Amino acid sequence: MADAIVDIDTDLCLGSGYCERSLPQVFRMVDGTAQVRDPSTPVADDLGDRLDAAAMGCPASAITVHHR
Amino acid sequence: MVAVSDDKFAATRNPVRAIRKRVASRRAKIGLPPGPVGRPVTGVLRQFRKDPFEYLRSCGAIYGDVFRVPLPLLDVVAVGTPDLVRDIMCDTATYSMIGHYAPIAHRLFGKTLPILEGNPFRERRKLITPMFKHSSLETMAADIVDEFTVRIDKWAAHADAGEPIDLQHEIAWLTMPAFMRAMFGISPSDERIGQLDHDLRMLLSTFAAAVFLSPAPKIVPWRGRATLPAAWRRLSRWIDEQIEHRLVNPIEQVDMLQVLLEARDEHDEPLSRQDLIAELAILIAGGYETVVASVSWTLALLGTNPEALQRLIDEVDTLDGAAPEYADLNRLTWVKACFDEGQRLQGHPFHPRIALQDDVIDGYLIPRGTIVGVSVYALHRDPRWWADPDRFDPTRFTDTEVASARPVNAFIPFGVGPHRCIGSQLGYLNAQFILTLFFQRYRMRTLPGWTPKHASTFSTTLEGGLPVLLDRARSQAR
Repeated sequence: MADAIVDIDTDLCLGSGYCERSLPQVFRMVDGTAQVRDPSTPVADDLGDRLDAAAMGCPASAITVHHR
Repeated sequence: MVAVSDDKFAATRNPVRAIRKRVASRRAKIGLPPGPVGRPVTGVLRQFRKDPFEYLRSCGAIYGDVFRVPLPLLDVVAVGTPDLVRDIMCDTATYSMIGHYAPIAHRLFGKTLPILEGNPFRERRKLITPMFKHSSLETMAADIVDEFTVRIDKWAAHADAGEPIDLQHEIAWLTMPAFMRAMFGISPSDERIGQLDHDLRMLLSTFAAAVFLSPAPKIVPWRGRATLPAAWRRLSRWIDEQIEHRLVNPIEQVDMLQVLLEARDEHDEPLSRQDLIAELAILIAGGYETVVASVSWTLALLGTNPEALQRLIDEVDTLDGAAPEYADLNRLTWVKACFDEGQRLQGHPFHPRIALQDDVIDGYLIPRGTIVGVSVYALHRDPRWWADPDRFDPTRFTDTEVASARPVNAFIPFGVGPHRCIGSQLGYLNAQFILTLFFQRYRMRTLPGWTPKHASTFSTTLEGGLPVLLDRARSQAR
């Protein structure tokens, strides 16, 4: 099954928390900055459009999704 | 679908590009986008200048999601779906803010965030980002509320005198000093605010004029008329004075001016004075004028939608007249929804990028050098994503089912992609605080027969301002 790698550029993150609110199973906020919950494991691509929407919805454009 | 008419006057608008386009199209065996034909030389300039908002919206309805806009000299193409918007706004290797005009803009004006790309862009954005983080906004919130409160309280004189007040004009007197105080620790006099407002608007209208959205600014001095070079000289001299003052009087705490002054590149060099002045000018302009326009639109639309307004007043009243704080922002959800709906209907006529290389969009050739953009106004009123699109209805943003069914890029008041507005969260903070403080103190009546009209200015203001009559709110805390 295809999966996706999610990158967060923490230098650009504004700490708005939109990603955590839209996909808490993937993102979390730590000290006002977004993180991928489990960076070592690719995210299952069945989240599909919701993952892309979370990336596009980031007010800092700090999230990149690489589909594999 | 209309028959696709040939762009038969292309050579009269720009002969060199007309030939190049045709050759590129034949060679690639890919057609150019359809669109109106217009007149020789001027194309559709007359219609576009008259009402760029409805003109591009109506073109989209006739020609589809990718169409040419024949204008003098420039090759302009408009795209109209959330996916196409993403394609042109996120791919900065193919579409750039000012493309091959970057070197001349850097030389004339300075290297500043909106006209940088690639690594220099990212480094500058990284430098500025901490000042716009939520943690920074939280520390600024009390100063901003204080500045707003003092100034909004002064409007009571207009309420008591029963005389009209132009809120659009007055809001600039809130947002500019608040931004200056929060970001730079500067408190300009009212006279200075007026001068800065004038000069910054002239600078911004120059950017809008580049795609025919505003009249070109005057360059040559004549009988004391306002010119762009004079405005820029005055503005940059004032910013330079602020920099000199700070160098002589350094501060302990961190603010935007200090961050930019202390920045060093990979060669340990500071920002040049020209770049520093340009960046500060852009930050100040972006930090106040955009909020003036969007909050004015929100107030204008609330003024003609009593049910939504009453719900907003009810929400504001839950604070029991206390000054709003940072923590209240998450609770003022209807205020935020009204602001989003205000921004949706405000829209912007044309948000452009420049193609750095030949590209194909939706099966049409986009030759290098084409200005490709989106009518945010048309996108925000497209019935495919917005039911009954011209109606003011903030529940579009509070009804999670409706909101999540919509493509993310159907609503782009702050742009999309790497160049997305860095200050969007500060924008919400400003708007929610202004609306709350205002309705804690006043009720407003628009003048009989008045309706909001779009002005084609940099940030899409209200044509003729927002003249209203104010009454003191009965529930106001004194």
